[in-house]
Amino acid sequence: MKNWKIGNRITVGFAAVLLIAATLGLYAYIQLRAIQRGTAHITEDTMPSINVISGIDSRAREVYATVLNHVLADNKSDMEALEKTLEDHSGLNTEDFKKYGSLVSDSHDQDLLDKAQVCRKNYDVAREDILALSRELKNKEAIALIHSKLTPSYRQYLQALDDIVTYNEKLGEQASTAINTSIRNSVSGIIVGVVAAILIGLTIAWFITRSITVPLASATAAVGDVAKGNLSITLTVNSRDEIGQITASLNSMIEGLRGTSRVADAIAGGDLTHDVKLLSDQDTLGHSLTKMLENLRKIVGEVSSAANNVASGSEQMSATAQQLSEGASEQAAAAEESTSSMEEMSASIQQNADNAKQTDKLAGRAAEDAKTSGTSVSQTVAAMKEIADKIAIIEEIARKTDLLALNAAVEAARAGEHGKGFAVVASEVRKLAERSQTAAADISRLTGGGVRLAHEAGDLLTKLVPDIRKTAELVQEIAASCGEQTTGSNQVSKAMQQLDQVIQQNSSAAEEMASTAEELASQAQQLQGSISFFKVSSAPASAPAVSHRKNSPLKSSPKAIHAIPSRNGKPGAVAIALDNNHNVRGDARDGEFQHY
Amino acid sequence: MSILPPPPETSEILQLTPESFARFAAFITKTLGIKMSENKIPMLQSRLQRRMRARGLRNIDRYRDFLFNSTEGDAELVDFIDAVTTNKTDFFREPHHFNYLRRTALPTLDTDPERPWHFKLWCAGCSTGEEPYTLSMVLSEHAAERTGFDFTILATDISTRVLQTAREAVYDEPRIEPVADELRKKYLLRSRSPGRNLVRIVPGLRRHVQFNRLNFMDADYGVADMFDAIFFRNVMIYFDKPTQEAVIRKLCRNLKPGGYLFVGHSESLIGIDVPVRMVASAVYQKPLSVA
Amino acid sequence: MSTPIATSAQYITFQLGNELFAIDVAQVREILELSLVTRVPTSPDYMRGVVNVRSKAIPVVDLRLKFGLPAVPDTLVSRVVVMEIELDGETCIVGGLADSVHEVIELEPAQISPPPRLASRWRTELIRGMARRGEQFIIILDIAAVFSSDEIALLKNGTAETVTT
Repeated sequence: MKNWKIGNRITVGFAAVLLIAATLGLYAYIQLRAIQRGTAHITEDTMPSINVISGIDSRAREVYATVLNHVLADNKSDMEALEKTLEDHSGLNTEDFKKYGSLVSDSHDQDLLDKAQVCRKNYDVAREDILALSRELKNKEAIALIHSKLTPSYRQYLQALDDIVTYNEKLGEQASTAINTSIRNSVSGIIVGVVAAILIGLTIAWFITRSITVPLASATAAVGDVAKGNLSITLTVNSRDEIGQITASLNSMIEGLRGTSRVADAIAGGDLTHDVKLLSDQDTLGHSLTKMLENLRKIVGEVSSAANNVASGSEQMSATAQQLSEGASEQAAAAEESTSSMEEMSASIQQNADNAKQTDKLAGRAAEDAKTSGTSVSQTVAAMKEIADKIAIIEEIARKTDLLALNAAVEAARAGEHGKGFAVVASEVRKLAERSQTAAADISRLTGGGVRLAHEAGDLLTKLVPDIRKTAELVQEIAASCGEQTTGSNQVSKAMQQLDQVIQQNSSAAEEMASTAEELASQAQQLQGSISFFKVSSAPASAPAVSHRKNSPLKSSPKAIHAIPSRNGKPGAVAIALDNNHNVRGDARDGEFQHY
Repeated sequence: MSILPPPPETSEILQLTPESFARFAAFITKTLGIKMSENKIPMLQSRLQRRMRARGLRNIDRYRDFLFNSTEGDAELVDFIDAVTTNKTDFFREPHHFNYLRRTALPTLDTDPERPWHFKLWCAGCSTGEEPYTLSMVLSEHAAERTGFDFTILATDISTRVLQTAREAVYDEPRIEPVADELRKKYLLRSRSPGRNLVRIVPGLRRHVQFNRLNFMDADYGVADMFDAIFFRNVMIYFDKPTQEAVIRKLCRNLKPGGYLFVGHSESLIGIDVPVRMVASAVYQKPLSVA
Repeated sequence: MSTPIATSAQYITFQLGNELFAIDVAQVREILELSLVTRVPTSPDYMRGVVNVRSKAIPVVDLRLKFGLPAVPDTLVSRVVVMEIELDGETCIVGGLADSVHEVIELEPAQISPPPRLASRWRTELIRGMARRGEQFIIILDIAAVFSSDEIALLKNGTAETVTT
């Protein structure tokens, strides 16, 4: 069944259900027909038979009653009326018998009818006899006859009729039973049939549905997965129906997608060497992918070569910028040093200028002071001379006194004992004179020295004044030229500063350029690295044209790092001492050099 | 394709904010004694950019935080000092001093030409070594004429980078231009590979020079020896007056009485109180007896 | 050689350079200021010249030069000691130029010791004795011995020739 087409499967399913329905219908029809037949038998045979017989019976009973009435009747008219009724009934009964004759069901029924007709005849005979008697008003005889003949025949007749009815009822019952049986049968048959039909239908439907939905569900799930991007699944194809075909198509679709995905994967992994396998001419995705791949190859190729160019270019630029930067920083250092020197010199010159100015001022004041001093000295000299003169007189007097006293002492001595008293006086006088002489001499010496010094000082001062003037003038000149120098050197210094600033800025710019260039170079390398991710040809991925400079002079300065400064903590500790055995005998690097 | 990061903002790198400058300047002045006026912003900027770049930081403010506030800041300090110090030097720079040393200072100090004499010289602020090697040449020339003369040069600098270069003693050929031909023949080696214009100082000259790191801002230099002469040229120009005075005083502790102190020609000791007196242009001498 | 001093006497003291000298006051006539001295040609160096004292020419001997001391310029305290010297029974008046004249003192014989025999700058025959006064030694001169007769004669000649000035 699995390999059946779904249409066939459904057709078969429906056919089966229809067959069951038809069977069921036929069965129901047959059953209904049987019921109909039973019913028809009852309605068209049994019931009319019974009705007819019942009519016959009732009329027989009326006839019987009429006969009795006839007997009882005493006039002709009544008799005639009764006879009329009898005749009508008899006629009706005859008709009914005829009617029943057509309703005879079977031979037994015929037998029964025959018997009833026999009985009727007997009865009729008896009745006519009676009637005949009655009409002659021979009631007694009639009654006797009734009893003797009519009633038994009447009873037989009724019996016969009753038998017919009973038989018909029996037949009717039989038919009814048959109908009931049929109905029961058809009901159960239909129920069974319907249940069976339902079950079978359901089963078939379930199977068909299953056979469609299960593969469809897996296909749907697969399509869902594919829609979600999962291409790892492969559907099992275990039928050759449409679903199987769909599944197979799905599988090939997934396979195709997988192929595309592999290519996309390769592209994602940078491998542009794989070609896209076109599934058909209408494979738009494939076409797009192929186009994309081609474009990518082209772009990557271009970018790659551009990146190589940029990398080598920026490497060169970086190197140049580095050189430039180093040059600039060297220049900057020189400029910095020059500026600092110039500043220092300017400061010195400024100081000189200041000093000169101060000296000039001092010299001016000194000249002034010297002049004043000169005058004071002259006055002093004059005063001292005067004092000296006065002192000279005193000295003179003292000397004279001394001399006189001395001579007096000599005289006294020579006078011997007579001069003793005088000698004492003379000695006293001489001592006084000597003291005043000493004092005068001291004053004289002092004033003399003072005068001489003052003279000398005066002379010097007098001589000094023009010297100082001259010096002051010279100092003024120095101050002026220092001022000029200061202005000049300040200008130079300022110019140097500006130059320095420019150079420092240049250095800064060069540094920044070097930095930028290096950054650029590294980015170019990065770009190269990035682009080398793509494999355009089957040759190995293009290696970066420029190797990473592991030992960029800027990034790592090779050095033996000395411990950082401060020995501040332990003053007096010897940290540096000349090593007399310190011997550089040359090292391996000397081999790279030779003498001039 | 957004493989590449966006290029860094130029202005972002460039910015050395006044606050950052003030912070750096204060630190540099305190640690190195180098005066930093606002004029130095471009200089500091360009120098810090190198460090910033080397550390892979995106702007100077981050570099500042890295230097001052991170645990790796200490390791960076050496490089920072290297970056912010100026190292300008040449062979036979300001040659007047070398003549003075040969013609005047050495004969003056050489009290007894018969005795063996070990001359000690300190080249303070030696930068990349041109000056100590120049001195080594000059003193070697002197040793050729005066028997029993030997010498040692102590060369110090704060920057380990320049000391490394100095120890290596390899220079670009254009740098030796001031070196006279006969001295080149004696004291220089040239690269064997013709493409590389490099020269190197002969081992015989390097032997006399000992390099050590020294920060002039240290309270005590811890130098054991006493020197006959100290070359301290073109370093003071970066210092302010009080620092100049303090440094000169500390240097003079290791200067023998009668020893010479050479400073840069633009430098002077006018207006600072130091125990030396001027004997020639930018040459000072320590009196034999300090009163 | 003079005789030792046995009696106490009065002396006048004067100074030559650093040395203090004394002469018996009996031999001193007066003390003069150094006024105008007229040089006498061809006289020895120590012969200063003659001075006019109350119309009398007195020869003046520079005692410094006489004792071999270097010459010094005259000062305001330079004095001429006018002495009376007995020579061959004749009294000669001679002025001796001293750096300064101090005073008249009395010396006991006990204060005076004989002149040292050896190691003296001074010729002992010219010294009568050494006196000690405090820390200072005073050399007591035998003035007659100082001026030998020939010198006196010379002085006389000098005086004779220059007295008119």
